[in-house]
Amino acid sequence: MTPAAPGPFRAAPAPLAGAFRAEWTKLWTLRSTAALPFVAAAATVAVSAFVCAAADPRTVACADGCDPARLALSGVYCGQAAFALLGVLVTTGEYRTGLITYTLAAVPWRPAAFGAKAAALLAAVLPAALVAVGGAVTLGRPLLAHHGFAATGGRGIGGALLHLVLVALLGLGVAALLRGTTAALTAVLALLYLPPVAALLLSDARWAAWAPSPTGRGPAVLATVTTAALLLGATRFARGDPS
Amino acid sequence: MIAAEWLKLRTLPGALWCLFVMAGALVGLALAVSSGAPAAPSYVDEFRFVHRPLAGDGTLTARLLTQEATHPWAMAGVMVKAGPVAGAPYAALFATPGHGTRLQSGFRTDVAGPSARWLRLTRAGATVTAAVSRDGGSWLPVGSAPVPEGPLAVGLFVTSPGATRGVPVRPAMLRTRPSTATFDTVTLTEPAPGGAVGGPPGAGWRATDVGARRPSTVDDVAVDGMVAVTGSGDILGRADDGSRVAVATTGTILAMLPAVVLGTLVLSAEYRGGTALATFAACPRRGRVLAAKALVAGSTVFGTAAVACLAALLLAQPLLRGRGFTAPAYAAPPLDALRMVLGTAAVLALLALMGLGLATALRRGAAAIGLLAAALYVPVVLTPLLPAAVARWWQRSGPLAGLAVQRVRETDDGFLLPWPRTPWLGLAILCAWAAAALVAGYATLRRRDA
Repeated sequence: MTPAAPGPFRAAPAPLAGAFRAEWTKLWTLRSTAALPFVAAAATVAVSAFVCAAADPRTVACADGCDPARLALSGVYCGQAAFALLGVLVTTGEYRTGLITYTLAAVPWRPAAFGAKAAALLAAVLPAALVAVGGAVTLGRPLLAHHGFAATGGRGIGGALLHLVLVALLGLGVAALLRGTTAALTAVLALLYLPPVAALLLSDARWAAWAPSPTGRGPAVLATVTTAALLLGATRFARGDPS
Repeated sequence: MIAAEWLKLRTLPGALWCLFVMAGALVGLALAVSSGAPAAPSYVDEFRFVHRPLAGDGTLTARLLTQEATHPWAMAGVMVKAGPVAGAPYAALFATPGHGTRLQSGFRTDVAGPSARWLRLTRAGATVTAAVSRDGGSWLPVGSAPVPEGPLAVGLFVTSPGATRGVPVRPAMLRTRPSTATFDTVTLTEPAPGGAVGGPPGAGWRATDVGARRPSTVDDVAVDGMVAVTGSGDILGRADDGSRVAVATTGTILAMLPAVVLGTLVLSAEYRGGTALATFAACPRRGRVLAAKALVAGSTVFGTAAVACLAALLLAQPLLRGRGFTAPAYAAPPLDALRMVLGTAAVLALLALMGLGLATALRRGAAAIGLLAAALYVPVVLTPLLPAAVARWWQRSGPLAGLAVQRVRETDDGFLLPWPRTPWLGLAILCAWAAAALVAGYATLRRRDA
C-alpha cells in the first residue's frame, strides 16, 4: 500500500492514466484477448440472425408467446461465452506468465492496478457489446418482420447490453479471485449456463426467474453476482501474494 | 506411459474437482427431481373440454374438420366424462395425427378404429358405444366402454402433448403444446326425458380446462355452427414409460461441463505446469501421448459417471416408490436401465475426449471450454424459441445427439432426446464428433512445436 520508492526510471506522469494505458496495450497486443471482442460480437450477431431466420410465428413453439425482442437478442446466449472468456483471460493471463509481478511493480497501489484493468476491459467490451447487440437487432428485425412478427421497438436492448458487459466484468472478478484460467472460466460458464438449463429440466418458473439472463430480472441478478465477485476478486488482488 | 498419465491425472487437483462435481451433479439432480411432493397421480388428465350436462341417455355427433398436427398423439374428438375434473371416469373417441382414430376409456383401454371424420358417442345407461363415419350416413362401430350411471358431462375435447409422452415424476415436468381443432355439425340428441335436442355449442355449453395448471389464454370460437377448440395436455394412464428410470440421468446436462473441463485439463495442465517438455521427451511420438491421455481421461470419466449414475438410479428408485410409483404399473427397472447408465457414462467420457481433442487442436484449454460450453448449452437454451423442426435438427446433428442413448422406452417425440427410435445412432454421432476433435488435435500436435 506504500508508494513505490523512486527508482532509476522515469516516473509515469499520471499514474492512473499510465496504468490504464498499460492495461489497454496488454489487452490489444495479445492475440487471444485482442481477437475475443470481435469473436464475441460475431458470435452474437450470427446466432441471432440464425434464430431470427428460423423463427416462425405460426409454429407451435411460438404459440404460447415467444417474444420477438427475445428472438432478436438470442445470440447473447452464445456471445456471452466469449465475453466471459475475455474477462477471465485479461486477468489470469498475467498470473500464468508471471507478468503480474511487473504490473504490480509498475503500479504498486493495487486498487489502482485492479481498477485500471477493469476500466481497460470495460473500454474494450462496451463497443464490442454495442456492435453485438446493435448488429443482432439490425439483422434480426427485418428477418422477423419478414416472417410476420410484430415490431419490438427498443425493448430488451438495454438489458442485453448490460448483460454482456456484466458477464465480462464477472469474468474479471472471478479470475482475480481464483487466478486459474480453467477454474475461473468454468465457474463463470456454470453460473451463466447451468441455471437456465436446470430451470428447463425442473420446469420450474421460479428457477427461471432467478437465472442470470438478459431479460426480466436477469441483469439485476447478474449485477449482484458480479459486484460480489468483483469485491472478492479485488480483495484477493489487493491483499494476496501476487505470485 | 498410461501409468504416467494416470499418475498425472490422479495428482491434479482440478481433475479431482471435476470428477467430484460431475458425480455430484448426477446424483444431486436425480435426488432433487425424484424427491418432492408425495403421491404423484399415476395418470395425466389435462385437456380443453367444451361440454354440457347429459342427464340420461343421448347421442353426440360431431364432424372433425381440421386438427393441428402438433404431436402424433394430439387428440381431438368427443368425450363422455363423469364430470369436468381430472381423474373422473370417461370414454373418448378421438382422432390423432399419427395413430388414427382411437376409443379410450378409464386411462386403460385403448381401441383403434377406422380413420374417419365423423365421430359419434351414444350413451345408453352404463355403456357408451362409439361409431365413426366417412360421410355422416353409414356408421362403422368402433367399440364400447363402460361409464358410471347418472348425470355425466358430454362434449368436444382437444389436447396435445408437447414432448415425450409419459406420466412425469413431477407434475410441472409435463410438457404441453396448444393444438387447435375445428368441428362442425355438432348435435346432441337426448331421447329421454322429453326428447330434448341440444344444438351446436352455445347456450348451455361450458368450456373447462380440465386438470390445467393455469387457465387457457385462448378462447374457443363458435361461428355458424363451426367450433374451434384449442387445448393442450395429455390423457394418459398408468403405463411406465420409463420416465421413472430416466430420472437417474437428469443431471447429465449439468455434468457435461465438468467432463469437458477434465478433458481439457489433461492437456492444458501439462503446458501450464511445464511437464509437457518432459512428457514429450519421454515419449517423442505425439500420437501415443495423445492416445494415452485420451484413454486415461476417457476411462476415468466413464468409470466415475457410471458409478454416479448407478448410485443415482439406486437412490432415486426408493424415493419414487415412496411417492406412489409402485409396482405393478411401475415395475422394476428394465434391462434398458443398464444401457441408460452405461450410455450416459459413455456420453460424458466422449465429451471429455472432445474437450481433450479440441484443447489440443486449439492449444488453448480455455478456448476449448468456451467453445464446447456454447456448443452444448446454447441449443438447449434456445430450443424453446425455435420451431420444432429446426431445434430438432440442431440437436440431432450436434454433440447433444449422444443423449439419445438415454431413451428407456420408445416414445413419439423427445425434448433433449434426439433420434427417438435409434438410441445408438445418437451415440455414434457423438463418437464421430469426438473422433474429429481428436484427429484435429493430433494433426496440430504433430505439426507444431511442443
